[in-house]
Amino acid sequence: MSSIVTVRVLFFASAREAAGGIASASIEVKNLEDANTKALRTTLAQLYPKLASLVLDEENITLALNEEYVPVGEVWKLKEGDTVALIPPISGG
Amino acid sequence: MMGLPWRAGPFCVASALLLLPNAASLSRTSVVVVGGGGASRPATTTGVAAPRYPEIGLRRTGRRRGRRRRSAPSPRAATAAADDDDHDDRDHDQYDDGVELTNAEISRYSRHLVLGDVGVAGQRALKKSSVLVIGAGGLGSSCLLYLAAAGVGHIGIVDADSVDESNLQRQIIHGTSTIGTSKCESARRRMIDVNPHVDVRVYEEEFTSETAMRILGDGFSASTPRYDVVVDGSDNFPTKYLINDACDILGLPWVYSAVLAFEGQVSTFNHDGGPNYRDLLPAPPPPGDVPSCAEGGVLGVLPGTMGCLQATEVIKIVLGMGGGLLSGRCLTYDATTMKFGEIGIARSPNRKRAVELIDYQGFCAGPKVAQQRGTANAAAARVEDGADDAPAGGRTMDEVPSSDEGLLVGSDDFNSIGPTDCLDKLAGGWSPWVLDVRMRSENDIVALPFTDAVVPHREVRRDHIPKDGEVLIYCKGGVRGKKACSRLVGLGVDPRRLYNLEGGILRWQKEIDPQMPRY
Repeated sequence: MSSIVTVRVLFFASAREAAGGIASASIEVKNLEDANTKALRTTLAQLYPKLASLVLDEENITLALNEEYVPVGEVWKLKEGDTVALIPPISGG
Repeated sequence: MMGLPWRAGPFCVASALLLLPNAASLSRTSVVVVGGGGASRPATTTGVAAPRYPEIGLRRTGRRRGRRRRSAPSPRAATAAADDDDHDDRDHDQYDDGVELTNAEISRYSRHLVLGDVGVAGQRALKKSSVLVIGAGGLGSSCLLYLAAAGVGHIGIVDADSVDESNLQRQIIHGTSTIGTSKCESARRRMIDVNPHVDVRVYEEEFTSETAMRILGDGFSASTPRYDVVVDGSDNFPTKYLINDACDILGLPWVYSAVLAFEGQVSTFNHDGGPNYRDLLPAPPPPGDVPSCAEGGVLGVLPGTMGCLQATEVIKIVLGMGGGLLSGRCLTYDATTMKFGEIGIARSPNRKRAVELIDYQGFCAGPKVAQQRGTANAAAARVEDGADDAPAGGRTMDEVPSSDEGLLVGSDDFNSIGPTDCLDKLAGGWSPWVLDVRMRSENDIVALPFTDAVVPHREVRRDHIPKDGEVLIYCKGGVRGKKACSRLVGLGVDPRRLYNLEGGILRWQKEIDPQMPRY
């Protein structure tokens, strides 16, 4: 069985730039098993080609699901109405 | 001054001490509450000998440093002051730490002293505390000013740079009059002007794996053998990881921040065993993928805002207001939408405590470079990397396009040409196709007049340049140009066709056309 959920994605910093300057978008995530953060990364890479190299690399874009940081190496399940923030690391001072 | 109505509470302390020239001799601490009923109790003194006030109860109210002060005095505290029997030797011991507020300090900090969660005890804690701020740049500027103003007694500043004109758009602790002065000295002068009661110690050197432990352990007294809190005012990943690991080893809390363009992040790490930077970002992003403020730009007020938030966290840590800290939370600020958000950070169960400092430049340069570099001196490497884009008169980290660029492993079989040779060659009939690999916004500031196209170095593709003929590539300082050449070679372009302008447009300005603006 496959699942489809719609989540709200917030783009920050270089992720926003790569997504064409949008701050947020509703994204439909389909996956054969569960809709999860890994499937979301793949979906975003397909929707925004310029974002692909960033979003597919966990070290380049941090995900926060409903304001909780998703640790590197973990895949979290998504449910309808979730908010996922794409937060690229920054270092300026 | 006689016959002023005396009221209970901190104002009363200030008034009392201001009235009494020898108040400090009343006790070894200057903290007293004179209260009881609020009746008018005129002080009868001529101010010659140490006055005695047998009818007024004196009671120390200072609390142990780091304890949260209750927001309102208990009924007992309010009434007991008039009770002479309330003196207690244990109280004396508790506050016998040699930290006293002078009359001048009491006047200066009156808005803090009346504030329930600060009060006299909190202000003394601030005076006793020591805070190390790493970097006197955009974040450090506002943070240092507020820490000094707040009365943090001992403040250390680490910065090896000197003030550059391009810093002043955001680094408000410095000024036009201190251009060329070391940032440490420039900051110290301004802080002492804001508050001459604070002790400012400067470290005009790089914060590296070699210097970190000595600087952090540079205590102010036997009771403060090392700094209490550390503030991250750095502008690069290697320093952030270094601060993280050093504080992890020493068990020190530190306040992180990072900014870029219109966005900032701030969090408090390693507070009471809370999460740290490695829980937010276990591994650094690939080198060169994250633009620096020099490359991506930054709204001047943004680091100021974040530095103020850092100062707020520091003050709360010192006051022991641990419950409301950004520990386990990263606050994000987006100045374009004027929205604050936060991400919860959990401590990773797999993370081990740091035991030793490593080569952080190598760590952040990626596995390939780390292998090549071995354990080369980090500071030397950083200076070397920055040399290309550094303005004359000193290496300025935030003028470097990206701290990691130049460390990238790529083909370097392409040609390099300095501005003078380039001009000679052009005068001799050379007509390469010219590509500017800076951001378009930089091209708007100043460009070589014979530029054919502008494509940011990260986006350069083979089809951006003609199929045949020689190509001259330039950027601001020569580093991004090098990277663009490597990239094109990697994409199959014949390296013999490519020429990188050494030193970029900055060196062109210096050697060929002094009329061009520098940025």
